[in-house]
Order: sequence, then structure tokens, then C-alpha cells
Amino acid sequence: MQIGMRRFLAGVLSLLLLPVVMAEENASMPVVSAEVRSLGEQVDNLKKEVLDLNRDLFVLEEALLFPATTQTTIFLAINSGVFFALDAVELKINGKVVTHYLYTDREVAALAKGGVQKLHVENLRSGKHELVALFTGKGPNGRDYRRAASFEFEKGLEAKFIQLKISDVTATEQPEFTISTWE
Amino acid sequence: MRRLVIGCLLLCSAMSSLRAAEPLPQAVKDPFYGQVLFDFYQKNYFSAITHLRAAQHQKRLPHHAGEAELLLGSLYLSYGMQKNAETSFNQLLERQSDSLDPLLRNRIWLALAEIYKTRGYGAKAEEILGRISTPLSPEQQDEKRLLEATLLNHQQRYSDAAVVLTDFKRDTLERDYVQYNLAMQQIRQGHEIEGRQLLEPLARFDVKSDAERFTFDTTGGSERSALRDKANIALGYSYLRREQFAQARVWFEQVGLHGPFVSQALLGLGWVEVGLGNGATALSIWLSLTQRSAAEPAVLEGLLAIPYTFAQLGDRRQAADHYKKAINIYNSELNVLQGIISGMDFVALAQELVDDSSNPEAGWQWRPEINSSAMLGPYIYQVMAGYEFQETLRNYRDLLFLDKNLLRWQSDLDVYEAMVDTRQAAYEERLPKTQSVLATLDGNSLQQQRYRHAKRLEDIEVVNDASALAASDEQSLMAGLARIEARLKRLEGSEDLSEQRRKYELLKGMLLWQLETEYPARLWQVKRQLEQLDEVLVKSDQQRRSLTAALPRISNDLTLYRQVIKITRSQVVGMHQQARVLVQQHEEHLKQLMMTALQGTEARIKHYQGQALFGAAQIYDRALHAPREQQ
Repeated sequence: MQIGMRRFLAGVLSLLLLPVVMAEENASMPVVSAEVRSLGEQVDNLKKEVLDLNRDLFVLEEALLFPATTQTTIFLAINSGVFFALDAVELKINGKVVTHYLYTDREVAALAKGGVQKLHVENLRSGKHELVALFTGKGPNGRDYRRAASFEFEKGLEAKFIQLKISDVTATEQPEFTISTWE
Repeated sequence: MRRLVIGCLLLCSAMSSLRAAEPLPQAVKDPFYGQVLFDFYQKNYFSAITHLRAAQHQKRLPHHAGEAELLLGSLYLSYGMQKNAETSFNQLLERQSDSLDPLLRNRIWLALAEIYKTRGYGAKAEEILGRISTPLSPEQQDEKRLLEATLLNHQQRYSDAAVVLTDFKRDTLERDYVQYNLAMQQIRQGHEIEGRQLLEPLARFDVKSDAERFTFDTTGGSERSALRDKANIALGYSYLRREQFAQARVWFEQVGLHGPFVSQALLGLGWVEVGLGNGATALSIWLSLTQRSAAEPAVLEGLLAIPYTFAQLGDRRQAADHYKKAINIYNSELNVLQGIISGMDFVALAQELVDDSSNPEAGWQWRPEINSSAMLGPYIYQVMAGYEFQETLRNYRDLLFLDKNLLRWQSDLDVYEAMVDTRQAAYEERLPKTQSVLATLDGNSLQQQRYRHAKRLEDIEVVNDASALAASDEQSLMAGLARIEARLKRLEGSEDLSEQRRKYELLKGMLLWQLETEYPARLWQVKRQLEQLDEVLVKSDQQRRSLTAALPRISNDLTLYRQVIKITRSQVVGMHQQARVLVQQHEEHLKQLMMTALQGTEARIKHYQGQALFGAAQIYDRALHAPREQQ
């Protein structure tokens, strides 16, 4: 019986063992078929071309939609964020609501790492304007928190960049909301 | 340069070289650089590259120029564009070779070599590794050794690879994967002893005691416990193939009961018992094995082993029953498989796998969620988890994103063209009126008027002519008084006008008093007004000049925009066609991979089915002839 069994065993193992058990793990260097390599290279070339195109179109789009003479861009940055967890921001320019933005956890995390969000772009005439930002979220001790900040600014012939900033004030253990021109 | 090094201090982690160039949180001085970081931290690599390149083009990163170049290379790397990453890093290194921190330079090369290796470009990875120079941090040394060991393994230089691994300083999962792969190669080449020596430390790894370093769950879901089980299985089968049954049993028994490899362990254990002459024990193990999903290869194999063993033990009835049961299960599995092969929409399945990705811009490290218990999972899990399928699916996901991106631009370009046309029409309509308004706002004539006013003020000031600054009502009074004076002169001598003259003098005196006392304040007021006029004139002149210059520029810009839109549209259309062709090619390739895997599974089950039919036929044949033999 043993001989027959072993012969059978050897046959079975050759079927099962190599493909299933002996498969290499993901740190190995893959053997890539010529077809996949060729397709991959074509995709990479296309990606490069589309990225070049996107850059050009992005510049064109901005020039068309928001020319520098009227462009006013509002950015949002968070410095630390220990005393305030951002949920939403509402922006009013000259009394009119222009945006209401709700944040995802991923966006808040990106802001906390030092990312800056381009929150809103608007075309404004030269002259004086007023921006009001209403921040909602959780304040110290997880309580609901709403604060507004306002800012008067003069729009000239150059593009205007404004920064909304949420910072922690360690002394008071409170968040601080400031608006300033990004020089 | 120091700022660049601090700002982009590389996160050294043996877990992933590709996190290498992630910048640390830092003070952002240019908002558009911060915008790129915002995309980057969310793994929106395509948007980040677009925004970064646009900001560079628009010269909006004056404070972060060096960091931006490094970040661009890292973004290309994260997005799986290793050639662009290499070009970008090369340019950065050429420009800043002297001032760049050697650790940072080495980190770049390690990250680049890692991606070349992972995408199957061994020679290129080796070339990049050759650029690495000392000093290296201990983590970098280990990462370099891992890469070298993998490349040596690929070149079938197993002994050299093993030597490199022995120099490895830290105990990491990546190192263990490389060691496992090397062991598999050794065993495949017939170097069982060397292979086992490499596997044994991995198979003995105490997962529970190391729970703090590697997340461990009791279902055997952690990578570490899975690798340990694989090492045990490999050792078990290695000894089994050499008919060293007792040693094989030791390793099979180490496999986690709740892990993904328990079926293979049970199958192997059954053969161990057969080898040791314990057929009944083997049957008991395999009967428990066949309670598991019939889609698992080990279970299908076990179904065949049971009747064979019964037959060998002389129990023909049980053998015949179990052959019949196995044949039924094989038939049923074949029906399921053939239904899938003929009816499955493989393209829809591929799209579903891609749609499950929450972020279509996530880079090349993205892995689709493939559920092994889903409809196709048990049959082609191995293929779907394999590099070729994953790489093709990743490219397919990127292509679908590019396709959507290009479609959006096609539609946006139509809108922009309409916008340019509307602006052109408005421009042409408003141009004559604007030009006539501009003509009336002649700067010189306004300036001349201003100088005349200034000269007149000077004259007034020289002679202190208070009456010259009289208000309009005062001027009316002065004119009235002058008329009274003239009348008084005319009537002088004809009658007594002394009372009227006294009143006239009084009124005139009062008016002059008022004018004289208010003269300094009025003079200051007029001078102030003149200054304000100067400011208005300067501003007005600027606006007039700006508008005069803008008029032809507007026309030129509109013409330029129209040309750019026209050229770009043809590029977008061309690229979109190219993307569609590649999408179809990828769909076809994915379908082919899945079909091949399914057909492979089908062939294997048919093979088992054939063996089961043959075994059953032998049993029936023997049963048929047995009474005759007895007679």
C-alpha cells in the first residue's frame, strides 16, 4: 500500500505544492510580461501628456475665469488645531454668501499637516470689500463652537490672496481665527 | 539649502521606501505650495502634480522653489511615474549636488530603486542602487540590503542573496518576505536544506509575543502571522516531499487554526499520517477538511484522497461512496465555473474593483480590495492578488481617471470657446464707446487745468486776496454790494444818502471781515483740495493708461485664447482616443487573466474529476469481478 500511496502522493504534491504553497511573497521582484510592460509604458506616456495638458489648461482656465485684475483667492490654513476641530466654513463677501464648505476627516488631516486649501476664488472690482468667515466645529472640550472673523480689504489691479488661519492660543487654551492678506 | 533639508526631511521607515520623500509639516510661505501639500497629504497625486507644475509655470513659489522640485519628484514617484521621477531628481541633484544632504540624496535613490524593482525593472534598479554613496543611516543600509537581496534572488544568485540578508540589522516584515522568497527559490532549485534553514526562523516566529510590534488578531489576519503560517506550510511540504513524515507533521501542526492556510495544513497532515501508516487518522483529518469550502484547492484535493485511502484500506463501499460524493462536488464546482466563464461580465467586474477605490488619484501603491469569499474570489484569488493583475488593474484605474479628466476638458473647452466668443462680441460692441470716453479723459488737458488752478492759488496767496476765495453766496453778496456802491455814487449830491452809505459800509465791512478771518482756513482747504485733485489725477491717469494698454491686449489675448483652445482641443481629442484604446486593451487583458485563471481551475477540477471517475471505475470493476474470483 505504501508504494502506491507514495506514488499518488508525489503526483498530488506536484499539482498542489508548486502553484499554491511555493508562491513568492509580495516583496519579490515580479516577472512582468512583455504585454503588461508595453501597456504600462503606454499608460505612463499618456499620463505624462495628460499632465502637461492639465497644467496648460489649468493656467488657461484661470486666465479666462479669474484674470489677475479681478482675481481674489481665499486660502485656509490650520496651525495645530488642538483647541478647534473644523467642520465647516461659510464665506460672505460684501454681505453675500459665496461658499459654504464642509470638511472631510481626510481634508482636516491634510490641513493639520500643513496643507493649505484654496477655499474660494472670486472676481472682484478694484476698491474696498468686506470678507466675513464663519467657522463651525468643535471647540475646547468637544463643545460646539462657532466663531466669525471679518476683514476689510482693498482690491487693486493685481491678484489678491487672502488667508484665513485657525491657530491655537496656548495661554487661553482657545482657538484664534484670523484673516489677513497673503503677501 | 538647509531649509530644503529640514523642510523635506525624509521619513526613514523600513516599512516603505516610498514614503521617503514626504515633507514634514512646515510653515508654508507661498499659498500655492500649501495647496499642493493639501493635495499631496490626501494622496491626490494627479491634482498635486498639476497644481505644482502650474504654480511653477506661474512663478508662484518664490519661497519654496527647491522644496517644490523635490516634492515634484516625490509626487511622480507616488503616482507611479518612475521615469519622470528620475528625471526630476536628476535635475534637482545636478543643480544642488554640492549642497544636498548625502542622506537625502541616498533616500531619493533608494525610493527610486524600490519602485523600479517593484515594477520589474531589475537592471534599472541595480543601476540606481549603484549611485548610492556613503554615509547611509542604519535604516538606509537595511533598505539597500533588502533591495540587493531581492535583485540577487532574481538573478538566481541565492548564496549571495543569503549573505546580504545575514548582514541585515533589524527585524522587519520586509526582510522576512525577502527571506521567504529566497527560501522558496532555494527549495525550487533542489537546495532543500538551505531553503529550510531560511524558513525555520520565520516559521518559529512567536506572533503573540510580538503583538505590540505587529497588529495581531486571533483570526490570523495579520501579515506577520500569515507569513509564519506560509513558512510552516512550506517546511511541512518540503519534508513531506522527502518522506520525512515526522518532521513534516511538526511544521503542519504549527499552522494557525483560524488562518487562511489551515486547509493546506490539514491536507498535508493527512498525507503525513498516510506516510506513517495511520490511514484512519488521515481519513479523520481529511473528512474534517472536506467540511470547508469546496472552492479551496486543498479541499478539492482532499475529496480525492479520502476514497483513495478507503480503497487502500480495503473498504470498497466507503471508497465508492466517497468517489461518488467527490464526483458530485466536482460536477457542481465545474457547473459553477462554466457558468461564470460563459456568463460573467469581466469588464463590469474590473470596473467594480476600480470603483471600490475611494480615491482614483491614489498612487501606484493602491491595492484593490479583493474579497476571497466573493463570487470569483475562491477560484482566481491567486491571480487577482498577483502582480500582473494588480498592475494591469492599477493602470486601468488610472486610465479611467484620465478618460474622465479628458472628457471634462472636452466639455469645458466648449464652454471656454463660447466664453471667448461672447467676450469678443462684447469687446467689439464696447470698443468705440470706450475709445471715445478715453479721448475725453485726455491726461494733458486735465493736468493743464490743474496747473491753472495751482497758479491762480499762488497769485491769491501772494497778495492775500481773501475775496478770491469767497464762496458763491459771498460772491453774490459782493456783487450786490458793488451794485449798491455804484448806485450810491450815481445818486451822490442829489439827496442825503448818509444813512444808506453807513449801512453799505457796515455790510461791506462785515463781509470783508468774514472773508479776511476765514481766509487762512479757506486757503488751507483749497490747498488740500488741490492735493486730493493730484491724487485723483494720478489714479485716473493710471486707469486711463491701463485701459488704453489693455484694449489692444484684450483683443490679442482673446485671439490667443481662441488659438490655444483650438490646438488644445485637438490634443484632448487625440489623447482621449488614445485613452479609450488603452482602456479597451486593459479590459481585454484583465479579462484574459481572469479567464485563464478560471480555465486553469476548471482544468484542475476536471483532472480531479477524471481521477475520481477512474478510481470509482476501478472499485466497481473490482466489485464486479470479486464474486467471480471468489467462485
